[in-house]
Amino acid sequence: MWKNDLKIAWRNLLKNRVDSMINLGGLTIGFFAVFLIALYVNFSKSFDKDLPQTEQLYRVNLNSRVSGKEMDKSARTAPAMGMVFKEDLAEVEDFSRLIIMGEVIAGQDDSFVREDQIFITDEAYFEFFDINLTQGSEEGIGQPLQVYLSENISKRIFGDKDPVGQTLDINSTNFDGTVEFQVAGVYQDLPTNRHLRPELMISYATLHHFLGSEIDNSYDWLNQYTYLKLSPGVNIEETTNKLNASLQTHHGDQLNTSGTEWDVDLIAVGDIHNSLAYSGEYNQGVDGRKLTYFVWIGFFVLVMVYLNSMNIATSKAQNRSKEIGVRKVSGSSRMQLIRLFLMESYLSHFIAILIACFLIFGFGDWVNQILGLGLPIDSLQLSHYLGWILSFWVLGSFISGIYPALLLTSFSAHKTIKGESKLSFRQAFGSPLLVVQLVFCLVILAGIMTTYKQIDFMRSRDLGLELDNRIVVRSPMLFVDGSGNYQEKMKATTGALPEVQSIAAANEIPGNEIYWKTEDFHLEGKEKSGVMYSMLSVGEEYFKLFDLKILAGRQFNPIGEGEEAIINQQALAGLGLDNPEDALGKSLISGRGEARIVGVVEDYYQEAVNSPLDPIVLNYSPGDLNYYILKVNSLEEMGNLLQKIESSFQANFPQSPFEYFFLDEFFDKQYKAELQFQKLFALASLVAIFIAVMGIFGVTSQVLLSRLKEVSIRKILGASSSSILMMISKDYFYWLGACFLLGVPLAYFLFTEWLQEFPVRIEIGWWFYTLPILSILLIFFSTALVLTIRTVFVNPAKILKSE
Amino acid sequence: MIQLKEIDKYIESRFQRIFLLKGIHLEIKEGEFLTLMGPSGAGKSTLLNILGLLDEDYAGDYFFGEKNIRSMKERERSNLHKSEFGYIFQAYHLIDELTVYENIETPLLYRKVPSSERKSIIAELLDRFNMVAKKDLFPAQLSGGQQQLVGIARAIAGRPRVLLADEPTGNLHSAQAKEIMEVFQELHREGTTIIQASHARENAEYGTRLINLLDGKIESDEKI
Repeated sequence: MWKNDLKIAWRNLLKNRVDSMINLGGLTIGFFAVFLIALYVNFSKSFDKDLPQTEQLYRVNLNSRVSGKEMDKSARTAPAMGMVFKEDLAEVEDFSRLIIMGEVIAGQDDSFVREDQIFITDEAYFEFFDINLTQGSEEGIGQPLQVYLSENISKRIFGDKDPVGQTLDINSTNFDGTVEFQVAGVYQDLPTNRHLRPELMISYATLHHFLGSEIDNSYDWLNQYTYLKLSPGVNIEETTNKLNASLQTHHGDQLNTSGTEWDVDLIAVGDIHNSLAYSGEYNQGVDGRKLTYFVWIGFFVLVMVYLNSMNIATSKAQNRSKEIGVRKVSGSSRMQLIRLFLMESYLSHFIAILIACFLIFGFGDWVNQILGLGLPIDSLQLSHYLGWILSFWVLGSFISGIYPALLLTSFSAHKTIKGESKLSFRQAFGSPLLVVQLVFCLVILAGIMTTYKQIDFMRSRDLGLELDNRIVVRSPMLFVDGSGNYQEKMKATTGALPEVQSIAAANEIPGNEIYWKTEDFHLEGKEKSGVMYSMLSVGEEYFKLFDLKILAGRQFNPIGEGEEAIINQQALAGLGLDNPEDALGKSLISGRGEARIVGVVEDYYQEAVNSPLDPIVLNYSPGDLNYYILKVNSLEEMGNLLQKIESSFQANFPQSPFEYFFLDEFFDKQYKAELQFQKLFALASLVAIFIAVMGIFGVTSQVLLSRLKEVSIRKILGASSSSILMMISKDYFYWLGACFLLGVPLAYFLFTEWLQEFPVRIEIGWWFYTLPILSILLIFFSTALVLTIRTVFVNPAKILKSE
Repeated sequence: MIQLKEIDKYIESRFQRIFLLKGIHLEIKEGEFLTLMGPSGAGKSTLLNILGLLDEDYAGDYFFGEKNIRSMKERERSNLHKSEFGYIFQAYHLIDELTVYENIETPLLYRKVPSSERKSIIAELLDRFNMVAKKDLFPAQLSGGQQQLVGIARAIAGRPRVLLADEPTGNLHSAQAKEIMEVFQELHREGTTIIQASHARENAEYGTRLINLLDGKIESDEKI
């Protein structure tokens, strides 16, 4: 019997090719979107959760307050903490420390790579984060100047050579140059779902080598992550309290004198990737709330898809009412008919799922790139998800197939066979369904407009510095010829090209976090205030190049006497000063020495506008810095210009690769999460609009069909075409009115909520209330009106004859 | 075999009941070939629907053999419907998506007839109506007369004792109509009880009994 049902289902699919294509198209696009969202959410939530000890692993975070005012919630902590906590608390089984190196150049002879996933780690890190050595031994981690490489990096630098025991040069600003390391081992590449994925790991003893072993007792150097392994099943709240008590015992006195309050809290390692609560994370995570939004979008799309599938099944099945009647008369029970309809639902869902899977696994990388999801589709295995897909198929087909099946089989045979019950389905089912579809469509359209506006707003906001026409060239690899100062050479060669208006060197560029942070600064005769300052080393023309506004004093003077510093307004406030003029000439004291404040610069956004303005202390460096920023005339003949810059660079630094990018594009990358959100919305809206159009098409064509006779009779009685158009369109306005009444408040509620996440945000204005509605009207009438007009101009004689 | 007692069928309208059938008394014996005649709206189709258990919304009693239909359970009624009745329609009502063979097979599937038996029954029917060569065609590829033959084949495939036909020749020209009626006559000779509704007096000539309906009442009942 089921074979017969399957055969009929298949023939039905082939027979109504257009309908089937529309239905399958809707299902496929919908499933594609839903699968993609599911995979993405699943991936984003899987970070560090598969570590063997993940239940026991926590990271310590530091919250600092100055006189009750919250200053920072940071992921980074001081070196002393881990050790002290382990000594004081029985439930702390072990601790691990990890220090960020920032970007380095590493290699041997002629084979170099740039890498920023490089960290200084200790022995416990191997155990905590399940790092498996394939070559070498763990002993090296206790000795200075040892480095471990991932298989990937090892292959890139050493090729097929045995790397263990080889020397490896690492160039970093943290070392003020190049340091020679020895390769102690190679480990398996880490899975993509780790909040940190070290490609190189430097032995912790190296830190002692450079900074002395007393760094282990430091509470000032807030530059490392501290991970704790707790005993299984301990109460986190109690443990946190004990940790804070321990912190008070050891460091409380010092904190009291500086007027700073510290407390620590714990975050499970598995939650780090989904939390945006802490500053100083190294890799960008995905907010758990954002994932919840994604799940909702996926749910919306799925509901739309199912509603539409029901809609098409009902409207198609109406035309089959005769068949239903015949089958009933031939002795089919209701159950058997329901099974037949379900079979069709199962068949079309099966095909759609198959195509959607094929699209995801076949064109995965392409989609991934377009959406910028960072989803490792290549490493996904279909077999992992087979169970999910199967239950999705079984449940989904049932949900979307059962309603039409029940509805259509509920009519008695002698009525369906005469086609008498044609009208009633549509009135009972079609219009509410259409309104729901239109509401979803409206919400999604409003969403896409809101996200677009917000992102546009953030991108076009005045940053306080100019990014257009700025090209960034990475500094030459410093140790290539070992010949001293490249800043002079760059300025004298590439910077001297006629197309280059000005050139400046800097250790960090706008769009990157300044990793060098310290609370060490204070004015002569004053105490440290607990404010965290970012330290930025720049070359001579930095301020001019970015059109930064100097509020008081002057720019750096290369022939000035002694150390000079320029501070921004935030730093000015941090130092306890109000008036920029007051700061001039004052001595800024830190562990590194003394610097004279020569200028105060207006605040500008070092990072995206949705991150806070940090206090920045800029100092002058004539030496080697990470980046050279070139201000060029215009972007018109960019190809030509880049070629000139490149050939100049290559002529002067023949062994260094020429690496460049445009600063405005680079800065925009910070809006990745928002852009991703927007793109996902675009995908969802595409599905929504497609489905809504089909819904409108289906419903209106059925309604019109059912009124064809009425229209014909009215025409014969002398009704004008326009009066008929009015009469038919009246229904549409009820639907649209219902859609707007429900949709606009829903959208308003959802997106004011979403906007709350942004410190600087747009106001919801007139466009929010009108543009989505106008779009819906446009979509609706372009679909419905064509059909309606065709009905209005029908020849009544033809219709009535066939009755 | 069939006994109708005081069958009324009506629709409630605002001021009064409109009767489609009123006080129908009818006894049909096994092996009869009965024709219902009457103008449009006389109640022919309504009566056929009631006889065929397609319409249960009526007043009065309907005995099939010894059993009162009204006192039967849903399942019993559905089984009776399946095993005892075959239907033929004016507009054939074949399923467009199925071939000739599959159309004939449908009622057998619903009766859960085993596959080998199904094959032999259908082969026999195809042979009988000279349609063996057409078994893989779809209804749209057949002439009206041929479609109605398939309709008859489908109706009798389950070996019903009663065959109900609503204007079986209404859509056919006279030569085709004659052919269909001859098939009916043959079925009748084999012992099938046939009840047909028809406009055409000449169709009644093939039968054994003629009932004239007018405004929901039996006007005349004569043997032929």
